[in-house]
Amino acid sequence: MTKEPIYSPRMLHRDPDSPRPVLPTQLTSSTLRCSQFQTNVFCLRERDLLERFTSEVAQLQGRGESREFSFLLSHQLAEDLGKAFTEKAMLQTILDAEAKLPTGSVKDVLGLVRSMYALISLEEDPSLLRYGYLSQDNVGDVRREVSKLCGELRPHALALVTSFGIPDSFLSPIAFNWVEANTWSSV
Amino acid sequence: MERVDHLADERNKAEFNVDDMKIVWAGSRHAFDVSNRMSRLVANDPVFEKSKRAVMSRKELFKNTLRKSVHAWKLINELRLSDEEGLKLRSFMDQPGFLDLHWGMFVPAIKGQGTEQQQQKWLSLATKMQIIGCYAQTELGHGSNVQGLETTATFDPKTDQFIIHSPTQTSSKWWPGGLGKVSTHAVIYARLITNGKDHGVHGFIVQLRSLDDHSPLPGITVGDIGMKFGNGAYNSMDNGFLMFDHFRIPRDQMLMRLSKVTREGKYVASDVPRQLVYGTMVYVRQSIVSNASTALARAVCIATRYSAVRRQFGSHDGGIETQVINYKTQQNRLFPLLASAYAFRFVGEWLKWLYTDVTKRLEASDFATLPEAHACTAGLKSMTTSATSDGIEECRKLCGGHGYLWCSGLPELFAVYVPACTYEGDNVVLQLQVARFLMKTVSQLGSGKAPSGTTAYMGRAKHLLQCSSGVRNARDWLNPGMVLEAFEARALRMAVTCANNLSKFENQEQGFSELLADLVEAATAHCQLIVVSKFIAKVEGDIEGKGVKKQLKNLCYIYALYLLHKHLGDFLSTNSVTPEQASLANQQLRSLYSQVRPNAVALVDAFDYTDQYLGSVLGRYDGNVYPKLFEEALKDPLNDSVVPDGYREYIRPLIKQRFRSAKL
Repeated sequence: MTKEPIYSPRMLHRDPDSPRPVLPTQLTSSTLRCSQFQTNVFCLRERDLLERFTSEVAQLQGRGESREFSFLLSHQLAEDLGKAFTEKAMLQTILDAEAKLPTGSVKDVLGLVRSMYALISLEEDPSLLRYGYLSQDNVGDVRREVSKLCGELRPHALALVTSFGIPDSFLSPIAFNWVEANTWSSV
Repeated sequence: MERVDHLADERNKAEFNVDDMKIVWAGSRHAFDVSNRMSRLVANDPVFEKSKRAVMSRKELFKNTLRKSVHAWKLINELRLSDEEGLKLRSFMDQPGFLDLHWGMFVPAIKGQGTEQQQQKWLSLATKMQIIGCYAQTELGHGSNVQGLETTATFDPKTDQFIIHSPTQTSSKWWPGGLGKVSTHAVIYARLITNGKDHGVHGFIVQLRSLDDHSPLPGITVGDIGMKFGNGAYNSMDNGFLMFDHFRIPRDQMLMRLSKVTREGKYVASDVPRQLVYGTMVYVRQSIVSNASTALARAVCIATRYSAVRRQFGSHDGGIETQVINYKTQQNRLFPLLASAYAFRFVGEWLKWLYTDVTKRLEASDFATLPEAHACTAGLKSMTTSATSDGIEECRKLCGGHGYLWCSGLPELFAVYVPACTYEGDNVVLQLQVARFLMKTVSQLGSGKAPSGTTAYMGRAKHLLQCSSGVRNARDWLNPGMVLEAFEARALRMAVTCANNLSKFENQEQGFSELLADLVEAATAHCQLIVVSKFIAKVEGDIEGKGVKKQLKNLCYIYALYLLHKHLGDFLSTNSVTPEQASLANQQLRSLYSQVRPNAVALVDAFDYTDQYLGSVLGRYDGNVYPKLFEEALKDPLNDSVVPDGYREYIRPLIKQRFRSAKL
């Protein structure tokens, strides 16, 4: 039986004819949690940064710099691009895993976790504002949605970490009743 | 063997006078002289040797600490060192021990909270070290929330005593340094209960151990809390636990400067204003901020020197490889930390001024600036210790794989430093205090009351809320007015946004808890503005020495523009700068890195650290790294024998496939 590759072909294939994603101007809660929106914004960011990076390197080389030095000078864009690619790849992997789950509470909670990952990545990235992918109001919407997601994940926090299935003996007393573990009767 | 300086070429590139920069770093010629003499005194004394710390057992390390501490005390007396010199000597000893808490917390607590008579009695014992004291406040169940402490001190009018008791498991004292094994006495913080009423938390002087044989007094249970993070580091300190079983002390051992209990058990607040306690708070936080600059400077010194020594990639036609300090990525990670070390140094200096100012006002019963001083010092403690702990770990990474070796000095420096983010106030909790102060200040705008001190910029709210940056080219980012305005606009707009969002909640406290994350960010922005403005004030002032001011300006604008780059989202979302202006800032930042590059090694030489104090093979002054790494490796106990202990019992049977059956 052939195992499915970790990276699906979809991630490696760039369709040059696919249109540049267009983001809605109003980001409602349901939009922000929509996997299509999340995928679009991650793809848009990556593609735009790639274009900027290749353009900057070409420009520097055109001025006579070596390819190696041009890459070094563009390290800021290179790092942003590397991060954008990685985050997009991770989002896609999560979505693939989520799609395999039957409808139900596990899938719903995983959706919350996935949205938290996607939105916190966006919230922390200044390139979204710098390059105009999102407006200031959009960024405010993302920030508020992150706060809302924190509240919704809160009742699931203990169950989610219990799901890691780590045996008690692997965890230190601080993961349980730290106060009890350190009282005089135990010392 | 010839002593060659492998970094001489780097030092020759310096465009400034290092000796003059040493004076700037130290703060004054006098401070440099004290620091230089004490560091050499320690470095040349074999008792203070520390290169074997990581391979000592806990007991050996602790005994070694006792030896060093007493040796330091003897030197202080024999050489008749001043208090300032004694403090410096202990800092260069560089090993956490009971002296730090005796002199740093126990003695100041008595000075600040004891009556004249109590000070006369107890300080005379403490200053001669006829007793050794610690500061027992934190409990198993309460650290940040001091008001929730559970230990009780109940007055007994029949015997004129207080009964100290630990009513629950969570009331056990937990963490106080020096308590575990050394201290004979402690200032205990407990709830004062007299005539059936709880008057809150107060300090009590309690004897813990016999002065004859050091055994714990009856009713006292005391010991060490266990190993802590890192090799060496705070494992040389006996952080302790302490429980009381109805332990009795005389009434006059309650620290009664601020309030007292009469023989009849009546609680009387004295006429000494309790705001005086804030003076000590400012002093402690100032020293924490100064320590942040020192710890960061040590890490940066090591990483900078090693980055000049280490070569990787970049070879052309079989030529020599490139020094990693020449890579823009290394500069982008390292030079902002170098700038931060100087920035925190100067804000630490400014806090010394603030301390004298607050003290003067307190003596004149002027409490008007206290809220701002409290918020300012809380925020700076939080911001500088967080940045420093992150910075030390970043310096370790900048050294590549070799940074993971204990002998690089960085793993232990990180482990010994990170508690600063928690003690004297959890960093996030402190930033929330700043946020509350900012919200209050914003709410008073428009009331005609002009904000002062570090919030004075909020008085220009009308302008700052609508202005846009005038930066047009990269060099404009070297204009102090332009930089300050960008930081002021960002900080103010973030604070005002929070205040506006808060006003939408019917319940203020609910709104506060909903917006905690935003409030912390607004507080951080305010603190960064303070540091930037103090750095700018410093470099725009008079500074002696060839080329010195120029280098400090470069570092100042690296610090500011790096923060702008790192927190670009804030600046863009508040419209404090445009994307184009941000690109210009990045251009200027790159230009500044190129200017600092030839001066980097000299800028860390200005810290004037001995190799003994640095304790780092990678950061050796002479740059002779790789031969010394090999020497250090050979000293490891595992190399005491060619064939390791355990080979015959475990490895040889495996190789020879000659297991005995395991008996279950």
